[in-house]
Amino acid sequence: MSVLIFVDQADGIVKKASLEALSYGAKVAEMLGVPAEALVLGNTSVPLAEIGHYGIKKVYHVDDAALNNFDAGVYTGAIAQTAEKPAHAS
Amino acid sequence: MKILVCVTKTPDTTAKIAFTDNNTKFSQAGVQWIINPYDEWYALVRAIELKEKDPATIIHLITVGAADTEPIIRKALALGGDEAIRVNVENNDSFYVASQIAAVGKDGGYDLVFTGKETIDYNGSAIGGMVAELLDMPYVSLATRFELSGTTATITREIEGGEEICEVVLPVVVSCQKGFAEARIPNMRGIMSARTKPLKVIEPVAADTLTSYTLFELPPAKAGVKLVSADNPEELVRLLHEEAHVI
Repeated sequence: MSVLIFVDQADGIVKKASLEALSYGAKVAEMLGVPAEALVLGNTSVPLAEIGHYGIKKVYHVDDAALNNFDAGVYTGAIAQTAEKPAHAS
Repeated sequence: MKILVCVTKTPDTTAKIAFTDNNTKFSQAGVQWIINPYDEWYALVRAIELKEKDPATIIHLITVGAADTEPIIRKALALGGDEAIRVNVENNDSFYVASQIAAVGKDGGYDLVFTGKETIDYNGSAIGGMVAELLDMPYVSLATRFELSGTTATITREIEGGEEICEVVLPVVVSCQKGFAEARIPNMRGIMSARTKPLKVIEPVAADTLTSYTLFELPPAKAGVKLVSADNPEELVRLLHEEAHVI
């Protein structure tokens, strides 16, 4: 089990609400004694390693042209697939 | 074209908010109920505007709630809906409510499903996205403008620091907010005709309730304002230092 936090970003900048979600998610993971993992979708210039500063142990980055523009359905599918990944359940 | 507009009741904005049962339930005593403003002013009115442009359009209203929601459904019908459906169940869980709406949407052949961007009581903002997923329809949230050309909708939505314009082929689920339509009030003809419009009551389908409320808290009371005379800056400095702890 782990806590997965979706990171919303645009133009290389992580949205403020996502920074809050990262910190909160990392805290929840710490309380549960499980790793905190983050998910970034689409092409991005966000320095992914810096997400680790928020207490995140692993960052998944799915880079596909279909994810470069926000589409609720496509994003939902990608997030659900990541959340259901078998490795994720370990 | 068929439009399904999701409406719900919320306490009037002037209602006194209190809780019962050890702060686990919202007290409904003396509360005046209204149609959730985002459902009424934007979702429903835009649907009515679309009907005015194309009179063949059919507007169905749906609410998930007990019999006490009927006055707000009648008001919505007075504004302009053609027919209303009430799913006879009281449940505050978003997934449960979305499942009820999706069950009606599935067989309804709707081209458009409108919801408010959130309710002004529980502020969940969850129903639209869930209904879209359950109906396997695209979803556009926080919409401020909606234009239709044939079966293609051009929708403007608010994003952090700006707006986004997207195009989508119907059917689609849209959550609506300020700017989507111009709020209006029911006219006498609408009020009279609302009495005879069909209001179908159906029983809920089986669905999971995934969340429950464990505690409600009111925000802390705001501290009173202290006025300091302009000729007494020492007192202002002392208060900022000793009480507000900002200097």
